[in-house]
Amino acid sequence: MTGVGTGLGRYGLAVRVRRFDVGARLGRLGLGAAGFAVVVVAWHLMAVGEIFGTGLLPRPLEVGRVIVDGLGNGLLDDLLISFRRVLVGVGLGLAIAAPIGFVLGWFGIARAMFNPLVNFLRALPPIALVPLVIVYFGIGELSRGIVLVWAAFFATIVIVYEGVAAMEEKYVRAAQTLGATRFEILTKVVFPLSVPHIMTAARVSLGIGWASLVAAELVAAQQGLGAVIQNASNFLDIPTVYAGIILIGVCALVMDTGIRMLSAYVVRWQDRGSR
Amino acid sequence: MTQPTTATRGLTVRGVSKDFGNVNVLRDVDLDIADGEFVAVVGPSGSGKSTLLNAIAGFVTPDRGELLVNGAPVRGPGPSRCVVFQEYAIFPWLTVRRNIDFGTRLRAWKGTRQERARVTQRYLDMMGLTDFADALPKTLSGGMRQRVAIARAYAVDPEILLMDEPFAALDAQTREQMQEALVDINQRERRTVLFVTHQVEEAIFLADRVVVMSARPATVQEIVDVPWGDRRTHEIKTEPEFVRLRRHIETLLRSRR
Repeated sequence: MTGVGTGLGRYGLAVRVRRFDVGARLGRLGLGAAGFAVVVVAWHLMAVGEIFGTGLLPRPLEVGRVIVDGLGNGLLDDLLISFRRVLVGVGLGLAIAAPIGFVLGWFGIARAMFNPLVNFLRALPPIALVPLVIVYFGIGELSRGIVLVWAAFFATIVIVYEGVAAMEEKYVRAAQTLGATRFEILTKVVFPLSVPHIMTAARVSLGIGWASLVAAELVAAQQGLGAVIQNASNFLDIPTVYAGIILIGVCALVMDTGIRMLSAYVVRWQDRGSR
Repeated sequence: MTQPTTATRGLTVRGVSKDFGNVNVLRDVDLDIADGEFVAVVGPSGSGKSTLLNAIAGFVTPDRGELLVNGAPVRGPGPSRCVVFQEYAIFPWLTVRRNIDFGTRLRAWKGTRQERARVTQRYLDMMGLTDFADALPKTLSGGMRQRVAIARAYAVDPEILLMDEPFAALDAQTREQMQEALVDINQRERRTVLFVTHQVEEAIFLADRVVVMSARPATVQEIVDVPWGDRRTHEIKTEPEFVRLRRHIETLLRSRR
């Protein structure tokens, strides 16, 4: 069985590649931090140079102090409220859209019927809905929830059904010749193959979710990072506006990193090299 | 070769024709494969040999003619005619072990849990995959992936195994190893096999009989008996009879393009 030897070699190589990956990842992390550092330095120079006029561009350190002081003084609550809204809204949107996208992807007739409609609704920026939602549902938590769920729903449904529709026929055929029923093909082949697409959808939805949430909070909210920005701008408290913007970025980055790590684990079977 | 026994056991192809649009791909194909026989099908590329295999597998419905497996007509794909595909069609999200027991975990399989474990272990061993049982396909070479595909097919105990150029994507050395592995498993397990290939040498090395197809529309041009029985080692490839058969088939393939 000389083939085993070859396979072992390949297997050993695969393990070594993964270990090398950790070093590469640390290197990328350092480079990413350096990217941030460049922007902060440039920002500082622009602030010191007062190129936007006196007092209109706070220095990075000043904003940093606002963030540190604010977090002990109510800002953390705003952050957590926004964080939770995005998590719940996008989670609900995903949970509703994934099964529907799955069905649309699998049944060609359903897809042909709903594809144009879904694309039309998806093309609408969720923010455009805010005025209508406020008219019908008021300015409470429900309105913001609806905007978020809407945003996540349409991002997810398209990614999932296009992923399922583009699935490689060979896996379905292989399952058929092994004796799988239509239902077994759906649960044991189509579903696992759609998981990577669901993970992508989650990532995209979170990005859209933050954009939509802040828009909704800017218009009507007493709490949340969008409200913080809105209130601060009313008082021309520019350092706090910056603090709010930066915290939104940090939250979005944290969620994105989280979903990427989860995704790397859930779809660890994917062969990156061939894709 | 149409004795009454072969008509009930094994595979019977009777007057099968298939058109795709205006293209006549198969015309009146007749073929009998006896129970436990290994038959290779060779033909010019673009001839209907894969279409014939897909018809037997149930992926393609013939326009005319009859396909019987152990006397029962073919209606759609199913585990009585398991296919090993040219492209690596093992499931990338499952480990080697779970790929091999995929078929025996389906409702169509009627064995007990202990039988499943035994069957899975037997084919892991036979294909030299035991050390890789918990590996994911992405860590395996092409040859190892096809070992998994072959083990997975044997595990559902099909009445006929259909192999559609399973080694075509492999390098020459791996290909020879896989041919030997296939000879090995089939001498121990003895299944009816239909093996499509465009390599004449591979066909003679593996098969009891080689079916030579003509160019489109494909018909059976000649069926060549291969004399070595179970003696399938590399040495036979250099024997004069092997070389003669090879030349003969290659001449047939060239004669009517």
